[in-house]
This record gives sequence, C-alpha cells and structure tokens, in this order.
Amino acid sequence: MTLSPALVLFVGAGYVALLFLIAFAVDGRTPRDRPAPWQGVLYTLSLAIYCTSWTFYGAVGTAVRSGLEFVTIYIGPTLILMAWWVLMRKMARVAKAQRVTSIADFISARYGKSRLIAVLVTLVAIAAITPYIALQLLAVSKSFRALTGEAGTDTAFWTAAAMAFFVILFGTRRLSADESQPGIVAAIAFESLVKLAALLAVALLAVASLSKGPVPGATAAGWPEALAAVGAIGEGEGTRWVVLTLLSALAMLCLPRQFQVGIIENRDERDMALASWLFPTYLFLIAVAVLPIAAAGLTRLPAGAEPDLFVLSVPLLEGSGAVALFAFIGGLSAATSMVIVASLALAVMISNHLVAPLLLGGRRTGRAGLSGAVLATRRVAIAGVMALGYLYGLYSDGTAGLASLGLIAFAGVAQFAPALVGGLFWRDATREGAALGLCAGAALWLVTLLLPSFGVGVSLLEGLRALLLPASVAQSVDPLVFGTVTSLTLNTVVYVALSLLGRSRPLDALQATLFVDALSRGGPAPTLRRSADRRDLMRLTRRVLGPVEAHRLFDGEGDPGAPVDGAFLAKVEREIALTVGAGSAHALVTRVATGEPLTVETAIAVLGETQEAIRLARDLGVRSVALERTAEELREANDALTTLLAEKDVFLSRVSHEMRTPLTAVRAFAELLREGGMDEARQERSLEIIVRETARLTRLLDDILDLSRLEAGRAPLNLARLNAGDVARRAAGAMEGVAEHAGVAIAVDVAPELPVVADADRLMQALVNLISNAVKFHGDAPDVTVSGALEDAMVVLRVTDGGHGIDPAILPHLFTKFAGAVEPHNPGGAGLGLAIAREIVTVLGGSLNLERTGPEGTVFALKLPPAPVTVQA
Amino acid sequence: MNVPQRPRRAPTRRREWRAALTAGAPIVFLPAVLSLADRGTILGVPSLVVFVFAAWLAGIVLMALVARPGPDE
Repeated sequence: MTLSPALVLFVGAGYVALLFLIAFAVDGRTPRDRPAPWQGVLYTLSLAIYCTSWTFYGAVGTAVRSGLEFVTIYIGPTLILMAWWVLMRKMARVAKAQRVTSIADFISARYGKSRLIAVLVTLVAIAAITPYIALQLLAVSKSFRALTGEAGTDTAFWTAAAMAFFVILFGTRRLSADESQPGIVAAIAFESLVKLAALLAVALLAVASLSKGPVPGATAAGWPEALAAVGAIGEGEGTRWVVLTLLSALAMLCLPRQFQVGIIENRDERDMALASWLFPTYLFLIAVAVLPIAAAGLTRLPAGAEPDLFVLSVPLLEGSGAVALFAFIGGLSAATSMVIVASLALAVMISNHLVAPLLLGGRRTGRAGLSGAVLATRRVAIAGVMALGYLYGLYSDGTAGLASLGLIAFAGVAQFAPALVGGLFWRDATREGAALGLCAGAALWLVTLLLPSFGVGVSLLEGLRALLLPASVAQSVDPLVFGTVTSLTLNTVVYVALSLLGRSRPLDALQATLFVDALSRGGPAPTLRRSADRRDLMRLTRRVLGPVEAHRLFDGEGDPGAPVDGAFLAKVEREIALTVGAGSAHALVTRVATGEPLTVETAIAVLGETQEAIRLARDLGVRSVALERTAEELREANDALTTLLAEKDVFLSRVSHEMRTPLTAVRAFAELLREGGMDEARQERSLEIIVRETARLTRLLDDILDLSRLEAGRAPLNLARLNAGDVARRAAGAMEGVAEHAGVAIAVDVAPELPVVADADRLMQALVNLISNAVKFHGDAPDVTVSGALEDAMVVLRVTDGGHGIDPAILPHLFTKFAGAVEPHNPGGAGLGLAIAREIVTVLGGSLNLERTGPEGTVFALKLPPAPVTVQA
Repeated sequence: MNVPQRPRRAPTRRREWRAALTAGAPIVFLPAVLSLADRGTILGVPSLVVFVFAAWLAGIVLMALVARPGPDE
C-alpha cells in the first residue's frame, strides 16, 4: 500500500504552515520577561529535539540490527538529567551571568574569552552537525519515498528551503538579550508532542499487528523470537554499550542544539528540576514504543525489509494509511525540529566567531551598530548550513545507516566535553590545554570516524589501528569504539597535561573562579584591574551596538571626563558579547583597555598599603589577646563581687538575727514587769536578763561599729611603748572567769620583756577575742595557752587551744566579717572577733595569722614589730 | 519573643538522595550488572529488557521525588 504523493505533500506543507502559525503566535504574544504558563513543560518538550529522525526511524533499525543497544541513546541523557543539579544548573547560571550565546561562546568564556577556542569549537561543530542535518533531510526524503513509492519530488530540497525560511523568519528577527527564541521553542515543543504521539500510535498498531501472528518469509517466527533478538546484548558488546551511553550522555551537554534549548533557553532552574524526570519519561515512552514496532516488523514484514523504515512499513502493511501519514508527520517533526535549532545554533556561532571579527575590520555602521550586519550574517549562515546539509545528502552515497551518521556526530561534539566539563570543576585548567586538547581530539575524530564514513582516508585509519591495537584485535574492534576512545583519550590527556604544565593568565583565573564557584559564590563578580579612555570605549560601543544603545549604556555612568574603571569595562564587554560573542567582545575591549598603569610611586603606595594592612592585622591580633585577658579579669572580678554580695546578704541576715534575739528577750521581760504580779525574786531575775541581753546587744553593735571604724581607718589609737607580755597576762586574767565557767584553765607563758609600740586597749581587745575563741572552742583539752616570745626580730604572741580544729569551709573567710555566716556553731557571737582582731593588729603594723589547725588544736600567732631600743641619758 | 525554629532537614536529605541517585544510576546500567539480569524470559519478554526498563522507570520515579530544589539552592 502507498499513499498519494499529493496528499502527503499537502499534509506535510499544512503541518509546516501550522508550525509557522504557532511560532508566530507565541513570538508575538509572550512577554519575554514573564514565563509563559507551562514554561517547565515547554522547556522539557523543547529538550526533546534530542529525538531526531534518527531516533524516530533509526532506533527501530538499531534495535533490529544490534538488539538492546538502542536504549543507550536514551539512557545517556537520562543520566545527565539526573545530574542536572550539579551540571546543567551550573552551566545555566554561568551562561546567564556571562551572557553566553552558544556553546562555543561558553567554552571560550571559560578560557579567558579565547577567540581561538571559539573558532575551533565552531569549526568542529560545523564538521559534525552538517552531515547530521543532511541525515535529517535524507530521512524526510526516504520516508516520503517509502510512503508514496515515488522518487520524483525532491522533498529534501523543499524541506531544507522551508526550514531555512522558518529559522530566518523566527530566529533572526532581533538580537535578544539572552538569545532566547520563544516562538521557535513553542514550535519545537509542539513537534515533540506530535512525534511522541505518532510513535505511540504506530506502537499500538504494531501490538495489534503482532496478535495476527507471523507471515511466511518474515525474519522471526513469532513475537517471542523477535523480542529475544531485539532485547539482547551481543557477545563482547559491553564496551560498545558503555561508549554509546557515554556518547549520548555527552551529546546532551555538547550538541549545539541541546545547549541552545537546555542552557540558553532555560529561564528558571525549577524547569530543569521538572525536566529531570519528565524528559527521561518522554525518552522512556519512545524506547518502549520501539520494541513492538521492531517485533512487528520482524514477524510481519518480509525478510530484507529496511528496518529504518519499519515505522512507516508496519502501518502500510496493516493498511492503515492514516497512521502511516501520522508517522510521516512525526518523522517530519523529528527532522525539522532538529534542523531548525541546529541551524540556528550553528548560525549564531558562525556569525559571532567567524564573521563578526571580520565585520569589525573598519566598515562604517548605522544606527543599529553591527546588530543589523550580524543578523544578516546569521541569515546567510542559516541558508548556508542548510545548503551544505542538502548538498551533503545529495552527493553522499546515502548508504550509511541513520544511526551511524548520528553517532559520528555525537563523537564529534563529544570532543568539547573535556574542556567543557573540566572547565566547570577544575580551576587550574588552561586555555592552551583546552585548545590543543580540542585540536588533537578533533583531528583524531576526523581521521578515525568522519573521513572514513565518506570512504576517505581508510588506509590512514587502518595504519592507525595497526599502530595502536594488538594484531589479534586490530580488525575486531568496533570502529566507533576505536575512534571515540582514542580521540577522547588523546583530547583529555593533552588537556590535563598542558593545564598541569602551564599557568593560567589573570583573566583565565578570574573566569575560572566565575565558572567553578558558580553555585557557591555570592556578591559582585570580580573584575580585572583595567581602565580605558571613555571616548575610545564609547566609540567602540557605538560601532557595535549603535549610538542609541551606546548612549543608554553610558548615561549616568561616572564622570564624563574620567577614564572608566574595570567594572564598567566588564559591563560593556558583556553587552557587546551579545552581538559578537564573548571572544570577539573581549578582543575588541582589550584594544581600548589598558591595565592600570603601575608607576614606581604606585608600587610604593601599594607596598605601603600592604604593610599597613599587615600591621593592622597584627594590632588586631594583639588587641584581641588583650581584650580576651581583660574579659577574663572582668569575669573573675564579677565572680568575686557576686560572692561578696551573697556573703553580705548572709551577714546582714545573721546580724539581724543576733540583734533580734536579745531584743525579743528584753521586750518580753519588760512587758512582764509592766503587767506586774511578779514576786520580787522573779522581778530581780527578769531585770538581770534584761540587763544582760541589753549588754549583749550593745556589744554586738559596738563590734560592728568598731569593725567599721577600723576598716575605714577612723579608729582612734593611743600609741605608747609598752610590754606586750603584760598586756597578754592582763587579757588572760580578764578571761579567767569565762574560762572557769567553760571548765578550762588559761596557762600563760610569756617572756618577761616584749616591748612594742601599740595601743594597750586595742591590743588587749585583740588578745581577748583570740582567747575568747580559744576558750569557746577548746574541745576536750583542759587548758588554753597564751605564750609570748621574741622570734626573728618580731614580738610573737600565740594563743593555743586543744580543740578539734577549724572547719576547712571556714578557712577562706576566717578573718572576714562574714566568718560567722559560714560558722553555724558560734553560740552567742556574731563572728566578728577575728575580723576585729586582724584589723587591730594590721593598724598596729603587725599581722595576725592562723599558724596551725587540726585535730590537735589551733594556734593563732599575733606578730608585732618590737619597739625600737631607747638609750637613756 | 524568640520562637525556636524547626531545623530544615528535608532539603539536605533531598540533596543527599539526589547525589546518591546521580552516582548510583550509571552503575545499574553497567554491562557487568546487566549480565546478571540476563536470565531467560518473563512471560515471553527477555528478563534483560524487563530489568533495564524497570530500573529506568524506578530511576525516573525516584528523581521525581527528589528533584525539587530546596529553598537554599
């Protein structure tokens, strides 16, 4: 069964007209600054230009010829999409920040905006993609012939002409800020839907066809046998499997058309997140559809039928002209979408990197600067690329399978991968490494894959294989595997080796930072220290962008008379790059820019600034240490104050308690006396208690006042020469009554002459306090000893008791007024005795220390300087 | 008033899953792994085909679950 050529032509032309309508409608209505509804889905569908006629027709052919290998073409992109968050997202951020217009621009921008690299990438892309475009045109031609049975109409020519017209119309209307083409994207998204729907329709028909069973003379005897053939990996094909997966993965990043739709056209990173699973789903459905179509072809079509055309042959065999026509439209969609975007991407690269530098040679420009000339160049380039593709198809023998031509193109663009991926993650990669690696890899790809596909240089390839491979495997190694592995390995080795041996230029290093840290760095982009004469830069900008754009750019930017700085130069360079590409823009700006002049004075100033910075850093370090020390001291002082505050509170509480006890007793007995009715003996006893408690209260207040005066240095002293031994004896005598009441004897062992200059009453007060404590805490010992002697030129008076020693908790506070606060076993005292004693001795110029304490008893030592010897006349 | 905020753990975990998926997916499709799956047929369909498509579909589903970028990305 065949279809009428007129019908097929009519439907095909109508479909292309529909594409024009869609592109026109979207291009005219979608605001460029606002994402269209379904932007993420549109983005995902636009990525599906990956599925060309090779995928549409050739995948079935590959499945029939090589089994399951066909899925590698879909698994590779799936793996890349799974890594979108670390690869494609980074590329998109860099592309936006650097105003990148193509993959050549991207790689060139990474390596110091090298024009050489941009030109190399463009040339390799032309060499790889032109046959690929020819392949699409051939596929349209072959499918038309298969559908109509006629070879008369040159469908390839008319397809090429229509596509050239379409791309020129919608792709070169203006130079947009980000090279995005919403009309074209909408059209190819629609085409992606059509080709998926068409392939699924054919697959459903194939499933229905399989149920009818095999026909005599078919290749397979039944669908299980057909599926076994389609679903197998050949012996020893593991390496080819890996290489194909790698190539298709790299194609997703390196094909100019994929870069255009995946990176340049990306407006929102969330669209990538959606595409990371939606696009693999699309590929999954395409791959699933291949299986029944291949199985139906193998069981229902006669052996020897062209597997690349099973997609059309199966519906024709089943008599379904509508599905066959739909399949033709699907194939046309696959071919045209690829041709549209690939030719546009190549045209941008050709105009920016090959032609624009020539246009800048000195011709005068109009109001739009070079924009008009660049757009005209792109139109010519599109027509040229399309014509090259058509001529290639016309004069090549056309016998190569659809898939093999596609894979050779994949291997060609894969040569961009070391420089592209390495540049995103390796800071030290250099432009020399990238350029020479690309040259070496591309040359080897040319010799091992592209030229032999034309039948050229076969002997050279044979010689190379013999040189590099052992004789036993030289003939058996797959040509694609050999060509891909050797070219990519050489490319990578040269790239890495030269990068390790060389050193980055300042601009290369700066660009490396912007690329490598694209996902992590914030703040303004660093710029080179350059300057330029404002008039020179303005003149250049007018020539490239035209006077209107140039004035808009320069308006309000700095002092009109002053040179422009590095930041503004970088801004102008980015704007110019939109028209002529990053490499050309950098070359142009470099002509008018100079590095900031470095005179001896400037060098000395820089040196001075550096030394000042070092000094400030050192000072800061020193200050930091001092501040830390001060903070530590303040912390300690604060701790001490906090402790004192707490002790003061406890002291006040204790003093209040000590005062309230006698006051309560005095009040109680005074009230009893007022009420009367007491006999005389009871009255006498009550009055005694009142007097005693009043005396106690007075003592307490006297102690507090006394201590306060001593601490403030306001206590009056009657200093006189006296014998400290006599004072000690008097003190012991004064305490005898108390001691006797406590059941302890006071032993006095004092040297006869211990002359000191002191206030006798104060000294006695101090000693009484010490003896009183000793008597109070004498424990089981029968006596308390007061001794005195002259030791080491000091008069030393000791008070010794045989008690159980002082609680260690009290020791830190022993001579403070807070001792009583931590000594709960001090009946009848406010705990001020030792504090008063020490203050007195200190005022007298001596010292009071705890000499020993423990289970054997406690010894206090009071030391005073001896009185000077007087000579009697 | 300072209200304690719940730590944002979900995006981090999603990132970890994403990294694991990115690193693990190529391994599943290595020829050595595929040869282990080549064990006859399942309802007439080669087991290798079933494995490849099932693994592929599982990868897509997992990616759909962890693809959404976090607020700090």
